[in-house]
Amino acid sequence: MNIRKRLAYCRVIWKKGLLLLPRFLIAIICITGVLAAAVYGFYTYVKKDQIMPRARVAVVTVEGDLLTMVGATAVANMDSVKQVAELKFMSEADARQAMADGNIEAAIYLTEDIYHDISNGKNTPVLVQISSKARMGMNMFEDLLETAMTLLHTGQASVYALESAAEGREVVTSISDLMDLMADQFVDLALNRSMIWESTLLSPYGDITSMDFYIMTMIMVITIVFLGMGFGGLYDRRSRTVEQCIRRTGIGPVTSALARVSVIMVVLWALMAIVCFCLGRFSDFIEFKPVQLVSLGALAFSMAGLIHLVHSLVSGSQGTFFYLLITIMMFVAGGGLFAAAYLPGPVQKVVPFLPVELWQTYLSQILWGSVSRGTLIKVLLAGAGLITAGSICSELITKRG
Amino acid sequence: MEKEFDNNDGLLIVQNITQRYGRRKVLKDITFTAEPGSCIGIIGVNGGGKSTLLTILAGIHSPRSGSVTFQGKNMLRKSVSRHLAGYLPQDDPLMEELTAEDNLRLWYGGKVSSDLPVLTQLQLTELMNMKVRNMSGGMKRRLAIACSVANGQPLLILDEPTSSLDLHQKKIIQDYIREYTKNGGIVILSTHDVMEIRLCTHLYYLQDGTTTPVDVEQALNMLQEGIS
Repeated sequence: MNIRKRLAYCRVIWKKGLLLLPRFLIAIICITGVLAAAVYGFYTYVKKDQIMPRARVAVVTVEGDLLTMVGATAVANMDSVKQVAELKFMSEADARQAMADGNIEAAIYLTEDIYHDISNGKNTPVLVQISSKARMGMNMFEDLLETAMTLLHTGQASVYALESAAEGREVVTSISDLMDLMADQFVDLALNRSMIWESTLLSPYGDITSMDFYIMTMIMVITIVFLGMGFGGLYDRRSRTVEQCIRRTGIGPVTSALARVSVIMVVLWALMAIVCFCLGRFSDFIEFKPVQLVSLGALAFSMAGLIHLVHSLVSGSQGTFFYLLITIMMFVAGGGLFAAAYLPGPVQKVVPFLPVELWQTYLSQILWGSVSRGTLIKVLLAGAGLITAGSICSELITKRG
Repeated sequence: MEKEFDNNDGLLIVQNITQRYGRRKVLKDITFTAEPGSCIGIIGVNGGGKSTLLTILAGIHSPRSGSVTFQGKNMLRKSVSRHLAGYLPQDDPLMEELTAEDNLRLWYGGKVSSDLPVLTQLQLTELMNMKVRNMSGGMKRRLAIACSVANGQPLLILDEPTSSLDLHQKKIIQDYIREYTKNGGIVILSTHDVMEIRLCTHLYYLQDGTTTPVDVEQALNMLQEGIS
């Protein structure tokens, strides 16, 4: 009898849950469209902000000073320099005109024989003009210019130290050649970074790109915030009267929680599966694999736990507002909307205690990597914990009446 | 009635029930008995503890002290009370989005035949496919009563079963109550309604947490004076 009642209860809860859906489906489709546009716009903005525009810099050399020209060309073609500045050789008059027209942000005026002066330890001043209308990227150029000066001073010091050491001693080659060789080696090692450094990506988004991050945000906002809000109907005040009476028939809090969580979980899973399938089929953001559907089940279970907990705490129209407030706050504080690295220090301390980052890590593993056993277990435990907490709250509230 | 209640030793004994919310004692040593076939009416002002008493009798809340025995069994045990007592709270325990049939399924634990006697008596057979949200207050109340007696319990606890219903709806429900008691069942109801008071075999006035037996005339006078 009890099993029959439990099955009948689950059937009724499922029917009720599915009947709630159509009301929200149209809203969710519209919201998805708006969110997709917002995510794309935000991504474009962030991407644009991430790429520093190269500074356009004129290099003015004295006509006929070939050695300086060759040296400056070698420096201009080094990858460190090329990443931050586009060096153009021009005459002094052209450089001043280009700066006045806003075609360049800076001009470096190299004096005659500066190459020799550097080699000989003569500190000839170099004029660097920076336009007052220079763009944001010039800050980077200025910083790097100062760094380059420091590097040159250091390099020069080592060359001069070698010169002092070589004087009065027997050397096979001439000191002058030795110093040229040292200077070349130093400049090469200092500026040609790819020779000695490995490229490492340090990103607030972890191993994923900002676009990937905001795709995940979109999926989670649609599922947890908007779809989750729709399930408030399963927990409304009238449902609690029903629950109180249902408990008398022998259906306990576990059956009650499982019935509701199961319907939420399956709907979340179906929606996430559709979104992932569409992303894989119609875009190149992810490569859709059927095995992802299995992994999404655990995520849906965990998320359903949160929806169950929040709706169990407060029901009715207040409950919907409370749910929206809680989930949005949790998303922001949990690093769901902005990467945790961008959040203020005190808020960052809260991040590990909220499940958002865990869910995002897990989702990123599903979509762009491979799911680690540790993350899977954490996701399942988080879900089980949330469901248990929700069920205890629900039971206490039902008992209180 | 679908069956005669096997209720020969079915004396309901309520003894020294006490309940308090914080420091406030809402029920003080409530004691009464009910024989099979009786209809017990609890009258009193709103907030006087009528609903609290009924939820204790239904096994939903536990009292601070006292006992409730029915057919020799401890009704304060949930597993006992659920089998022996049907309970209808003031708010209909129905799922509004679903049909009458879906709601009945929930309580009966499976498909319910539309020719079930309780459905006929409460005139619900034509409403099986109607969504609860489209029903009138009286229809909902009748459906809720049908749900509450899903296990054929011999004790029926009703919290203001016909309040704010029209005369026709009241008559259907009161006919059902009459038939229920005629078949040996016990009904305990809280009420402010003249017709329901007349239906009761025993009446208790609940004031300041204690019950006083009253007769129908006294109860009707109290109703007129606005003290119940």
